Order: sequence, then structure tokens, then C-alpha cells
Amino acid sequence: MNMKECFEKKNPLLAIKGLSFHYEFQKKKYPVLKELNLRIEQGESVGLIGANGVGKSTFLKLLVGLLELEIGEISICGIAVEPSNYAKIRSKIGYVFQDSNHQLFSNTVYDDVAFGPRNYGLSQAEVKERTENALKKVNILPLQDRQIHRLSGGEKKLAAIATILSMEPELILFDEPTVALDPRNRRNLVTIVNDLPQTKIIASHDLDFIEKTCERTILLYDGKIIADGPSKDILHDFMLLENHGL
Amino acid sequence: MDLESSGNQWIHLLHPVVKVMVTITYILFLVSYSKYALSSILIMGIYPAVMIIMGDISLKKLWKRLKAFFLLAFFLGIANPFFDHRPIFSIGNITITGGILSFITLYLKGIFAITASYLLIISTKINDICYAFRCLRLPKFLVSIFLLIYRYLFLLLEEAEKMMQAYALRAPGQKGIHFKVWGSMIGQMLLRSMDLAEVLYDSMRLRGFHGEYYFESKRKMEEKDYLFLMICLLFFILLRFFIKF
Repeated sequence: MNMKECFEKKNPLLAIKGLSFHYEFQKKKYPVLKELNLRIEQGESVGLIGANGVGKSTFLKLLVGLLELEIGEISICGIAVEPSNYAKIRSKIGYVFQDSNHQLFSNTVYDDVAFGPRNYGLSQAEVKERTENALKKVNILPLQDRQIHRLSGGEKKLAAIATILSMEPELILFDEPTVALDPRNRRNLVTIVNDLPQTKIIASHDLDFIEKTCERTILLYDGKIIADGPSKDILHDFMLLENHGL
Repeated sequence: MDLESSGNQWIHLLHPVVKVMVTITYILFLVSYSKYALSSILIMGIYPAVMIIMGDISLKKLWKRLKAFFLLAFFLGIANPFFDHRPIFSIGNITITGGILSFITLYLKGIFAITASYLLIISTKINDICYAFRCLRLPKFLVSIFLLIYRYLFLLLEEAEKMMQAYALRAPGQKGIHFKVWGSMIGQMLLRSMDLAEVLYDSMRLRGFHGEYYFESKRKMEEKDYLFLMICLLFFILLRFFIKF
């Protein structure tokens, strides 16, 4: 089933059933996620919060197959996340890394943003169109010829988002998007994220950012979903947050 | 150098494939001369000299950037005079031995080859050089590795700089880094570079990378590109095989 059919049939964009995951170190198992069940509909913007080490990044990495699923099922529009489907899944999910340096590896901004579309075999004209559109959306078109290592932290973050937008994903995953951003760049990022029509999952410790960009919030604690509901309810329940490491 | 490679001089506007072909041919011809062919090597210096003049390349910057490499080239053949004492010719009372001649020849070869490579880099963007490599059928994995090393180098330098700053802030008044911490610093750098390599690769895979780095195809070669290629190749061939000094 392709994404369009999926939306027409009103399937959830993301469905997770009984997801568990652990890391292994010196033959000892350290569980990170325990029996997670979750549904995210198309167009939702979901904040993922929790203390350090609670498994937010692990959760995001499982969605795109950077970590291999052990127990449970993840499906994106009915397509199971498993090695044989990784290419299909990854063409529809954009992952914005916490550290933009990890995402940007080409020489210039344009080349990095064009990297994804080129890999998917688009024509040169299509690549150009997508790249320029993505750069326009995050307001960095004038920086397209700039070398990556000459960008500021805020510009790098915007370039990293543009690299994802050029792939026209259905779902965008943000891992700590506001880290190392100054207030102005952070405000700019809020506007940009809110303007994106795609489904978004934002893992962050920045609760104010989550409140401004997500209508739904999920609180993770000890590998489980402790709360899942409207952001304004969860983020204003200080007792709940404090009792769960925030 | 990256910024300068986007210039508008005629040398920048030549097709990258032509520039790479000419540079590789020049270096191959240069190293093919015998170790005593000093006069021929000197004549081969015409190519970089002409390119520097016509391309308006700053000699000051060239010297600043390449002096370390020139020094390295100097040491390559420095032992030759001690092993080869055969007299070749004399200038007044000074006898020039085979060792001295081969040392000078080797040094000039090094200088000219380095300068020719510099001229390529200074006039061609790194992506265009890689595109040319692919057009010349260099294996895709080699080209990808070349390009990634280039980018990775900056990230590693940034990491190294951060570590040095962190060290300096906690070791005020100390000149340089104490040799006792060299080991752990290098170890840390290695671990960080491994992490970085892994996460960069993840980022590439997520955007559809499957072993080949695709480049934007360039404009077709024009008459001026062919003309430049022909003139250069003709010059190198004539000099190497038909004109003897």
C-alpha cells in the first residue's frame, strides 16, 4: 500500500504494537523501551518528552530502522518497518539529527540538500526544484552556495531541516531540534516547524518548544508511556512532570 | 581555497574533466623523465608558470599554502648526493655529481607536481573534481571516499580544536600539550571519529545512499575546452618525445 492509498483508507500513519527494546553491554541487558503501544494519525504533531536516557532517541531510531526491531511491530501506513522495507520507509520519513554536523556531509548547502533527491533518481530539473523549494521553506536560499563548515549553528539546523524537506517526507522526526539554538533561531524554528504540513514527532527536553509546536504530547518514563494527551494538559501538570524526571 | 575555486577567471570556467585530464597527464609525463633530465624538467615548468600568470593566481598565497609541501619535497631526495658521486659536468671548479643532479631534478618534479595539483584545486570545486573522476571512470567507492574524507577532515579538525581548547583552559600557562596526555587524546579522537563516521553513514543511509555519490552533471564540453586540452597534450607530448634538450 502506498502512502496516498493509506491516507485515503484512513489508516494511522504510524502504528506501534508491543514494542520493546534493550541495549546489551558486557552480556547484560538494559531494557530501554517496554511494551509500547501507540497510534499517530496523519498530520498530527506529537511531542515526545522524558528524562535523559529514557529512550526518546532510541524510539526515533527504531522508526527508521537505524536500530533493528526486537520485539513488537511498527508499521508506517501499513508498511512494516523491517529490513526489506527500509528503503521504502526511509523515502517517506525524514530524520533531523540532534547535532546538525551529523547530518551535513557535503561541501555546500545546495549539494547536501540535493543529496536525497539525487539518490532517489530524480531528474536534474526535479532535484533543482525540490532543493530550492526546501531552501526557501527554511529561508536559507541565499546560503545555497555556502560551505557547510562556514555556517553558524542556527544556519546548520535550518540546512539540516532543508535536507529532509527536499525528500518531501510524510513524517518528520526531530531529535532535540532546539539544542544549541539562540532564542531568535529558536523562535524562527517554531515558526518553520508549525508551517510544515507533515506529520511530526519531536523528541525534546524543551517543553516550551513542544507546547508551541505540538498539540499532543507523550511522556516516557522507565521505558513506558506514562501519559499521552493534549500538550497543554500534560505540560502544565507539574506534579506529573516532576514525578517522572522532568 | 574552496571559495577561490568558485572564481570567474578563464581557468575556473574550463570544464572540470579537461582540467583533471590535463593535470593527471602533466604529472604522469613529469614523473616519467629520467632522474638526470634537469633541462627537460625545467621546460616542463612552463605549464604551471603559464597557468599562474594567465589564471591570475596569487604567488604569495601559493607560497604560503605550499611551503610545507615544498619542504617535504626537498627532503625526498636529500640523500642522493651522498650515494651517487659520479661526476656529470663541471661549472668552473664545482663538479656536479649525479647525486646532486638527481636531487635537483627530483625536487623540481615534486614542486611542479604539487603546484599543478594546487592549480587544479584552486580553480575547481571539490564536487566538480569528483564529477570529473567519475566521468573518467574512477571507481565510485573511491570517489565517494575521497569526497567524504574532504568533508570529514573539517569535522575532525573541529573536534581536535575543541579538545585542545578544553585542555588549554584546564592547563593555563602550559605551552602545548604534555606528552603524557598525547595517548589519551589521540585515543579520544579515534573514538570520536569512529562515532562520527557511524552517525554520518546513518544520516546518508536515511537519505537513500547506497554506495554511490551522485553529482550534478555539468555543461557539455565546448570548443575552448577541447582547444585547451589539445594544446596542453600536444605541448607535453612534443616536449617528452620529440624535443630534446
